Amino acid sequence: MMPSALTSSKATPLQMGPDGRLRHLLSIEGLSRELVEQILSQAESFLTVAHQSVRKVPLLRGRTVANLFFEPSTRTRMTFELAATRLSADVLNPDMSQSATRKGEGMLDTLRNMEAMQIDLFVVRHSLSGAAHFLAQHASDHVSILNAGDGSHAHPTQALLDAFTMRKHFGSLDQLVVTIVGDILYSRVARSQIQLLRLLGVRDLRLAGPPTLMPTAIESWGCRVCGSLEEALEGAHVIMMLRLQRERICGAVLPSTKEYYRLYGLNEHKMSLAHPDAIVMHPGPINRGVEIASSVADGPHSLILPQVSNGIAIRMAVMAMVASPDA
Amino acid sequence: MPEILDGSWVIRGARLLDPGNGVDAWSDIWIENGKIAAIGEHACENPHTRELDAEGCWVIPGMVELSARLDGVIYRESALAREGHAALSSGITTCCIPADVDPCIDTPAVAELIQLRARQNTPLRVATLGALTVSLAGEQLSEMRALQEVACVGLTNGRRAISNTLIMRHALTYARGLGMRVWIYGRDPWLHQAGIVHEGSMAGRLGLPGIPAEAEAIGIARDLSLVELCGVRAHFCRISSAASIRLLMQAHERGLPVSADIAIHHLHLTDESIINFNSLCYVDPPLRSDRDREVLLESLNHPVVEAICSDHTPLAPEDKGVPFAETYPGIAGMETLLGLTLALCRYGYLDERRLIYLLTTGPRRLLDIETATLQCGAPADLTLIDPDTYWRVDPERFLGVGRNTPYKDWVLSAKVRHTILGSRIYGSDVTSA
Repeated sequence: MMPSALTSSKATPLQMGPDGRLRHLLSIEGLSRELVEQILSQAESFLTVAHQSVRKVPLLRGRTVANLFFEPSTRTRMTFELAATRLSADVLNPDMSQSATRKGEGMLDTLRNMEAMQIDLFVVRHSLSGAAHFLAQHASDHVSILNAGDGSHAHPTQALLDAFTMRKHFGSLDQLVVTIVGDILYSRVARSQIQLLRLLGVRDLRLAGPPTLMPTAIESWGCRVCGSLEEALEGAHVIMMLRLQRERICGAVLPSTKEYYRLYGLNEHKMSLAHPDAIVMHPGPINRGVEIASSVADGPHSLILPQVSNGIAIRMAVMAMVASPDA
Repeated sequence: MPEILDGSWVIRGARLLDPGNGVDAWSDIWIENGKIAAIGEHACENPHTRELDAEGCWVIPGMVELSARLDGVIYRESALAREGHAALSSGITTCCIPADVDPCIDTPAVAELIQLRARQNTPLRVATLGALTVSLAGEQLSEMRALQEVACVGLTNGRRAISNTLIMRHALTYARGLGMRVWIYGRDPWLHQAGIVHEGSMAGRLGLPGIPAEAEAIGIARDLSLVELCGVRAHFCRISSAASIRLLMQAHERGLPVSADIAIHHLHLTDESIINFNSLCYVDPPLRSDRDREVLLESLNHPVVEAICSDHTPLAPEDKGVPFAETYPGIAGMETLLGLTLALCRYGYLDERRLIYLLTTGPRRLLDIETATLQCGAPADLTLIDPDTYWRVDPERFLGVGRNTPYKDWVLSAKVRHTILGSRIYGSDVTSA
């Protein structure tokens, strides 16, 4: 793999415990390919749990998981909660938006208090980049932090479930042409996806999106920025659409969602440029008619719903890895 | 604790280095009753004169910290005393408080209160800058003459850029009428406010909003044009980027009355230092690319650069005890300023005289305080340093109130042995002397 700034070796050792095991999952950066393969295989084995008569395995029995969603989310929180309950953990869902912890000052106190309640695993979502790192830096030895999305920084379980979905569909990833479309600048999903796909050997990784929503120095991330969606779609096997985070965009970044859809929205006509067996993915929730046409989102190429089920398996795998007593 | 110099004192065999006075010689220096009595041979009649063997050491003028953001401590007496003690023990005898502290220095009352607090609690000399506009809002000119009368040594809007060019022009013109120097942080407010760290690959990697280097260069280009138009003396603060320092060097070469300072962290650290969301490296203006740092290092010998400072910002643990974007920017830097600056000298970026100039003579000029300090009859305001003693930075052993340093475990040279200010002596050797 070519060296790239986004995956350079100076990555965080914070996530790994002294025994070399995964202790926190904060970012894809710093994970080894071997560890990622391990997570993906583990997830494979958890897929069947959903179809058992009793949808539970006892791996986290007696463990307590707290979902700290400082930023509101329904779907991600539900999948983490389901993952934890299917592992037989006890789950707490404190309402962070109502509590005194909305200000950063309270975050450390929240952590300390919940540690004192013998909580083993915190799933953290926060609107600030680095929030999960911050908690991991201050967490006691017996506690693990899972990043469920921090600002524009990282969303590692989303990237893992995307890679898992791709691998289930295509087998191996290294020959695939993968295109990521949309708001790369503010997208934590895109950052984690790019890092993970590079780690898993994807060589032809393309980006398309408005130039105002491309990070500077993107060339060093090991992907190709295409001038148009059409160029990026040419022969693509995987098309990963990003949600246009309208609430994040301040100022005159885009003229209108209409023009965005015209240039970067995925419709059936543009789909015809991609590989005939191409798949379409989206981290959700979808803005229909803004980044993707309904006919594509609901069409035969779409794997958007399987992504959701795969998300539970991936989150089970990661939770089991960091929190099960004998893992 | 300081000791009163009741009698006289002789420092034997040190290198006296005072660029403001053209002094660089190995000699003895005699201090009597808070003044320099003699340099070299001296027929001292005081039988209680104490000797200090200073072989291999340097005597330099008291250093200046050009920007000490002491608003967190100025109204807390014991904390202010500790900061003063930390400064003096680090070789700093004068520090300057910028106008954009809380509350901002836009009225004589605030300036006088700060100066009074300082006099009551520390022998450290404290200078203040006054605000250019009321509440730093960039709308109405402050009463600059009143600020001048209470000894504000310059005027600034601090890190709050005056976005309205017409108001900026009026502010500069009015300041020129009073003969005051204006201190400018060059920045385009819109580009600057959109981010918190340098816009480069690290910002992209961490998903933190970026401030392009151009935010600073655009602000400086605008303000240089206005400085030329208004004919005011202008000092540009904390230059962080290659483009900015180039603009300033060119302006100086064209004969504009401009100067600049650079914060020591911009000479040692880059945006790579914020890896893992290390908020100890969150500063404003932000740490920039390695290329910017290289150009800044090369500029240290250009006459437009008058000072290196630490932009000292002592913070409480809770100020950094939040996720990166919510932390306060700044480094508690006074206690590492000398060691970090001397390291640049050892790497060959500047020679020892230039180094001492940038920590003493240059900033003294900017504050309009006396520059020739190592001469007979001058009040004692000097520091004795051992340039070859190495020490490891341990924030837990800082004398000041802030522990917010990114230099933990760095090994630095130059230990301050004594600082002598008036009739008091400070430093690690005092008890054994």
